[in-house]
Amino acid sequence: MIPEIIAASFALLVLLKSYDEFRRGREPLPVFLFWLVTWLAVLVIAFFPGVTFWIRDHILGPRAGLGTIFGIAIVFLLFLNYRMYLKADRVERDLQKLISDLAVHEFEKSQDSNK
Amino acid sequence: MTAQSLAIILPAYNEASVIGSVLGSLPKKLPWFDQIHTLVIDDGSTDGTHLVAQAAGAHVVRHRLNRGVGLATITGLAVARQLGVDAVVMLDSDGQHDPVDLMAVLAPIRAGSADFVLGTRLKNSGSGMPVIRRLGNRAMNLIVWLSSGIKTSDSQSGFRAYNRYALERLFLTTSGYEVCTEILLAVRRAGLRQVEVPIRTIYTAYSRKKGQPVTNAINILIRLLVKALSG
Repeated sequence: MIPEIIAASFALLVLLKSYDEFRRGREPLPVFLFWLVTWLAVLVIAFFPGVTFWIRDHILGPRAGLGTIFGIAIVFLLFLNYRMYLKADRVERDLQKLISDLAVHEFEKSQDSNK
Repeated sequence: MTAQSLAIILPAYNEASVIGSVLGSLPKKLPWFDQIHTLVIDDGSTDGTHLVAQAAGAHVVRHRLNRGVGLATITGLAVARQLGVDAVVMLDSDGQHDPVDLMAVLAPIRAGSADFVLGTRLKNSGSGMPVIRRLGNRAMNLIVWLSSGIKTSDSQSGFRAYNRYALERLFLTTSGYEVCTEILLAVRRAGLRQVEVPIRTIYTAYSRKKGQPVTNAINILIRLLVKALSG
């Protein structure tokens, strides 16, 4: 039962964080829905591990091996990596704007004080 | 003839040892302009570049952090817009550009035949550019042509001039050397009239050391690709 409690706590934490980001307008609805579905899936698998067998038999097909599952996992991780890149890029652009605007503002102030 | 004002902008990063002599070599007067603002955009230097530049009589705009020549260009153009100048000329602060070429680069702007002028090092047979650098620049020109269809003889030149019309239409976003390519793309997107003017390059041991390495072409290419993907 302990792994299920850990998984549930972690999922709840991430979902609350994602909801908070969405509520503040920092995350669009599709992204919030993506995390909601992802973590609900994690919860379902944590509490009902038998679901993975059902997925293998009915969705991936009985011949799906570990390679298929790892392939899906790699695509998922690449997507997460891309999301992190976008966030880092946004922070970088915000930082650039801040540095440039501050420099222009300080220049204006120095020009005004020289008048 | 109405009064015309010009901003000479030099992006600089840790150029304390040369910025004084570079500023000293700039003309204090030009025949077409009755007011000249000399601005150094200090991109977070840690060697006192701003103090040397101020002592040499330049106005200094300082970035708190070093973010690259692209952001220094963005800040320089923003300050020029604030000052409301009629023309802007930008050149490197490491002394590789000859101030004598200022008139040639500004001539098409003054004549009203161009909105944007690119000083090109590769149309001048006597430019003295090292072979490896010449090849690197030609490779970048090819990349620019393949990726955007823009044909230019020196896509990485930092010697450029803009008129006010161009100044009000060029808004850039990249922070590193890829800004050179972004400017060309922005010029075409804005439908500006572009002219290339041959310039001389002064290669010293210092400017060779400070210039971007040829391998930087790969970094520029990756950054441009990432920018195209992320919008």
